[in-house]
Amino acid sequence: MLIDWFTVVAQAINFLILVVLLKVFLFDRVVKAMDQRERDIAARIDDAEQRKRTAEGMVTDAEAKNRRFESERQSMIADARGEADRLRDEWTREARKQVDQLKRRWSESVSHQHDEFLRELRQRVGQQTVDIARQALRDLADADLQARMTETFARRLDTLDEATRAKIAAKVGEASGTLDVHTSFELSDDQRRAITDVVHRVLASDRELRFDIDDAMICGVELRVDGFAIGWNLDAYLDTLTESIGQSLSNATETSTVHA
Amino acid sequence: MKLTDISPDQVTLFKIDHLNLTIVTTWGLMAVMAVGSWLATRRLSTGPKVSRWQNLLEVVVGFVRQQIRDVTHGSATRYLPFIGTLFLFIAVSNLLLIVPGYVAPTASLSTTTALALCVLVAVPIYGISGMGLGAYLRQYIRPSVFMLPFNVIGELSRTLALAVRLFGNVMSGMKIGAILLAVAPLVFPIVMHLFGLLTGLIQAYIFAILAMVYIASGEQHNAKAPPLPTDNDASATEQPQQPQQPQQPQQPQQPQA
Repeated sequence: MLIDWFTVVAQAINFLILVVLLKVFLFDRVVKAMDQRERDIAARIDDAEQRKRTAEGMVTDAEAKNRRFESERQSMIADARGEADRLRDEWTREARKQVDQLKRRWSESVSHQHDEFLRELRQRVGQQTVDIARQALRDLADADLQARMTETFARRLDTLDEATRAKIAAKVGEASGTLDVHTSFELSDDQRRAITDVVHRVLASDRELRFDIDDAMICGVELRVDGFAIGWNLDAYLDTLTESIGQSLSNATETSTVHA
Repeated sequence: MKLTDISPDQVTLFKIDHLNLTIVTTWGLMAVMAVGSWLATRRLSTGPKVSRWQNLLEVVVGFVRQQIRDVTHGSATRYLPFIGTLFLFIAVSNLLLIVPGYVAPTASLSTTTALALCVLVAVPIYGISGMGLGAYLRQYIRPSVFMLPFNVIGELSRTLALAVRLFGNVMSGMKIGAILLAVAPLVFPIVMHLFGLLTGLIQAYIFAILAMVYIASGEQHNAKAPPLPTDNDASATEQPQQPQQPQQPQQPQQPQA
């Protein structure tokens, strides 16, 4: 018979033992390793996905930061430009202000020098003129300038029109104290007496006269009563001269300023 | 021709009664497979780099698992040790035919009968454990109680068919090879040997698949059967368990031997 039942039973037992052996030594281990590998791969994929999402998030954050930085940069550039414009305007105004101040100082200095020059010129021209006139009168006409001036002062007082004379007389009447007679030179006693007589006669007053030498006066005789003065001197001539020269200097200064 | 030429069961060894060539060869195969498995699985790697032996084992085990999933449309964990051992035992037993003087245990009708009986017993065990005793027994009286004898006869006949199919194929392959060796001793037996190896692998595949089909059909006959547990592996999650057909269970095509 082809079937040996003892062998059948033995082979069945052998097969069951083999099932147990292979389950323990083969299938469980291999399946466990395969499942573990699949879990590892799945974990790695999850980790990679997580890293990818994290990286994408970082990229998004970086892009947002870049956009914010760009916006801030643009804002800072705009602020810097605004600040630069403001500083430029401020500095320009300041520079113009300083230029105006320098210009004004320069103008003041020029004006001061102008005035000083004219004053010096007036003084020297006046003095020279007086010296020349005195010398010329002495040499050519054998006359004394001071004496002629005193006589002229007396004669002009005598020939004053009535209104002026009354006005001076009223001023003299209102004033108290002495009457001041200013001269550019020392008067002799005769000259003082002659002037005193003329003043007393013309103004109908016996007020005492006080004679003073005025250093500022270049050449002339002047009667001063309480802020009112009447006299004759070189001031008018010198004023005309200095005005003419001053006008010429002003024109030259304006021309140079325009050219500058 | 003597009976010892047909079945290795009749070849007694060491002059001990019942200790025949089939049993001793089976022990040797068991030792080789068990020790080989132990050696190959001592240092399994769970990383991406694996050894050649581990790769081979994973391919084989993965193939068996996939075949089981294709049949059950569910988990392969419960059936893998039984079906996998069936496939590997028959396959190794048949592949060693290239060794001169080797007689495959599967060429013994006793061995194939033992394997078929194991399948016969495994079907109700899996069925009862999966859906309960009552539900399993009720499938024998479906669609009516008059079908009970036919169902029982069907169970027995397919068990007999399993045993005889494997025995007949392996035994005939060996005998044809021996006959051809006598007729054309040079090239033709080598070709037949190669053809025998292919046939042996196909027989192992057929035996294991049929066993799985019988077990799966025993579980799927019951309409109220609970769903089979699923593996936590990728294929099981990608292919969810399909709803079971209560009256028309999905029966895979039985391969024709």
